[in-house]
Amino acid sequence: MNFALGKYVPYDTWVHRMDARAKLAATILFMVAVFFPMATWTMTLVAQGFLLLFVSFILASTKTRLRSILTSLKSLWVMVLFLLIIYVLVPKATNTLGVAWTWNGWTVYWDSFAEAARVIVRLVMMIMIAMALTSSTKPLDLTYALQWYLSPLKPLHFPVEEVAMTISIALRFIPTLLEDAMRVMRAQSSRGVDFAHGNLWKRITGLTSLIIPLFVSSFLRSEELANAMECRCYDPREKRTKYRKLHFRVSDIFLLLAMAVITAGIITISAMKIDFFALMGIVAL
Amino acid sequence: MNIAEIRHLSFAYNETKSVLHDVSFSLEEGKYYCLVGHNGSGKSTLAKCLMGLQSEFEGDIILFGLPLDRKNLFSIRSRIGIVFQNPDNQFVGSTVADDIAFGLENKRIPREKMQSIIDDFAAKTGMAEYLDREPSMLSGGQKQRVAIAGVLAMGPDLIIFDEATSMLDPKGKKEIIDLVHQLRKENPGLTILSITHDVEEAARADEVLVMNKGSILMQGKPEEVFSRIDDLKAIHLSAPFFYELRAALIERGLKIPEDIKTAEQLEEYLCR
Amino acid sequence: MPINLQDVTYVYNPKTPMEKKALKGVNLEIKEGSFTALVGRTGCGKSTLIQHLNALLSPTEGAVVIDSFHNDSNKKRRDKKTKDLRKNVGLVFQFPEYQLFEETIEKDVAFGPKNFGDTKEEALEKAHRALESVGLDESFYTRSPFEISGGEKRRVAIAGILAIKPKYLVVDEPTAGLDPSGAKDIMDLFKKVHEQGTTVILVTHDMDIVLSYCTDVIVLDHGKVALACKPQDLFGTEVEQYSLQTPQLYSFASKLESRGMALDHDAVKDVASLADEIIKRRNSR
Repeated sequence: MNFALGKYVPYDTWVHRMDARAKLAATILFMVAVFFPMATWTMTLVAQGFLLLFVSFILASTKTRLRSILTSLKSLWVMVLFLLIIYVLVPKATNTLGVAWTWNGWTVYWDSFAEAARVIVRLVMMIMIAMALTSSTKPLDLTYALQWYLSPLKPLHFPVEEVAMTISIALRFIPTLLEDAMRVMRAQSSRGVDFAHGNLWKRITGLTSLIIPLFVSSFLRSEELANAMECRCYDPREKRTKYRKLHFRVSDIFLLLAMAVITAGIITISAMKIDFFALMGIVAL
Repeated sequence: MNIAEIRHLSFAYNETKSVLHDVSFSLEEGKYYCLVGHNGSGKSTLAKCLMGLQSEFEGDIILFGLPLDRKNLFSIRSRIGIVFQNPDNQFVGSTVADDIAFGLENKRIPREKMQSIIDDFAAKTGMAEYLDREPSMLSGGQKQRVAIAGVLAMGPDLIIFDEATSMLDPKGKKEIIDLVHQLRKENPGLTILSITHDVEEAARADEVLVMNKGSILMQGKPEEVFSRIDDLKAIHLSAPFFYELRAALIERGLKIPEDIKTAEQLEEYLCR
Repeated sequence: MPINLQDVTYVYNPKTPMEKKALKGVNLEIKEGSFTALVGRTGCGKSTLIQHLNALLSPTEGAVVIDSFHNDSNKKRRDKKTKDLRKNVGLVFQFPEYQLFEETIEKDVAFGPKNFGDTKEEALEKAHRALESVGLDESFYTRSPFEISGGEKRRVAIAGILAIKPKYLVVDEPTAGLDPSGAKDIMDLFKKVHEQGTTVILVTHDMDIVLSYCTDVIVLDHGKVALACKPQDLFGTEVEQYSLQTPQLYSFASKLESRGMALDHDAVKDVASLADEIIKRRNSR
């Protein structure tokens, strides 16, 4: 599979060792920071550049290979093309960067390209931070973190524990179901199905021959799993004790604080429309 | 003492599909039972009834002196463990330790006590080095050992193995069967009911129950049951190698004395 | 023509932390018309090897030569003829019942022939023949493959491959999960297929089956061929080192032999033939 997003890679780095709750919160803070607009293009460049450096540092710390980052980003190119077309076609109100070219009375501004680039960089950063989170955190720990954040909802009869149990089982079965899918695919290929070529109708029958067996085996698995859980005295309505416990450490608090400061800084700069360059007396774009 | 009494148990999924008819037997504490019979004879349904997964049965199931009903379900279930056939479909936790902990969490064992229980039973089943492993990194035999550890951690008096070795390779099979024998040695009070196709395993049991078309056809010591080769053949079951060979030799006119009870003795006798 | 494997090496996930060499220079020949067993401990490379036989996998190095087909690392040359190869080499995977998906049994069995270019009528005709050969009569044709018993499902799935009329049939653990009488029926079915001229390659852990049914046996160990011989000769060697179990039948017979009872080795295939031999020797004494 050339899909690196969402796959835990068991290294032992400081990012891996961090508490899942801290990482989850930091990720959300980062995503917030990414989305605050800056007053000028130069400020945007500075802010986004800073964030890009930051997320690159984190991602590099998780020992994620450059190649898998690139493969994850590869699927973005359609989006890039689409955005470019949209931004170029739709006339912009702001025009600070000048005219790129005019063609038969149609004016294309540099702003459109800058706007598209900003959106793309934002997306890239979102993907990078999500990769850093998922490649350094066991899915189970993420589930526990989610459960911890949702636990204040418990008095409101929100089924926090059941939701967490469902998610953790779903995550636990992803490799099993992937293996099932591969197995059925091999079996149907041996029966002459070509999943990659052929006309639409052939591909649809090919896909049915994959999906129906997968459904059947998943239902069977879930039924057997439910029985096994019941036999081990599981009752979703009953209280349960918990084996796993997440540990918050000083370093987690430190990172969270740092992230909070960065985000707060960016929000402040954005909200007050501060322009460092103007303050320093330089007229920027 | 009988820890299980099953009297006139009948069960049907619907009007046309009746699975168990008038099944009666009892299990004595500390014994090792093997239940044999071909696929579709009702063995697994019987196990489901015993676990309280099928409540619409007729007749009586009395476990540990308590009738199996809604009221006693939790207290009975916390004393029976079951290991199913498919190693993947009973692995609930994300890691070995989490899976062993699953039953303990359900029984509300305090967190401080869990780790020592988990370590203890992981060691007993030979999985101590694998506590952090995820199920996709384990072999079938290892997953079954985790299932056994999870069951043992609950402190059961009766363990049911529902074809627990049938999806394993010979090595995994042997490991599980050896583990069962070791457990019996360590816990003389533990009763085991193993549903199996492996007649060589059944030959080592205290008692063998033979099931066919939803009824118990025979129950007795392995040598009694497996000596009735013709009755077994009639329902498409085979006997362990020794019994098969002895029957084949007798059929061919050879006289074999009654006191020859193992393959070694037979070998001795044939070469004399 | 025999199937030839020439220096076949296969590496899973090359150049990643999960890199695993499954086959390490395998050289072997599978004779045409043989009933060849492929044995060895779990993870020895059996499953990887059989997937090379119908080009589900292609060697990282080396080549698999089947008739005019070369399965090697040259993708272009391979792709055009893959379908032909898959028609000639039928692969029945472990637990094949998980590949069923059509609404009727006859349609499911006809799925393979149809994919390989037969018309609907031809495919159905072949499906009926195949179902007959696995012992399922007309009453099964229009039933759903999901409402029959486990053993019957497996027969339907096997018929799905037999209907393609492959010249070589590869079966992976066909008896797994079946009761002994069901296992015997399935093995007798493959015996019949073999007698009708199909080359059968069987992956199994059950040495009793190897002894009773196979003409040749290949032992794989750690991705290499450890032994290739007749089943009767296999158990005379130290097979435990490959994690294979000597059948009780064989060890009993050889104990008798070592104590002076000369049995005809090739004749001892099951309990009945062993008993015949013992009686013969005793009478001739």
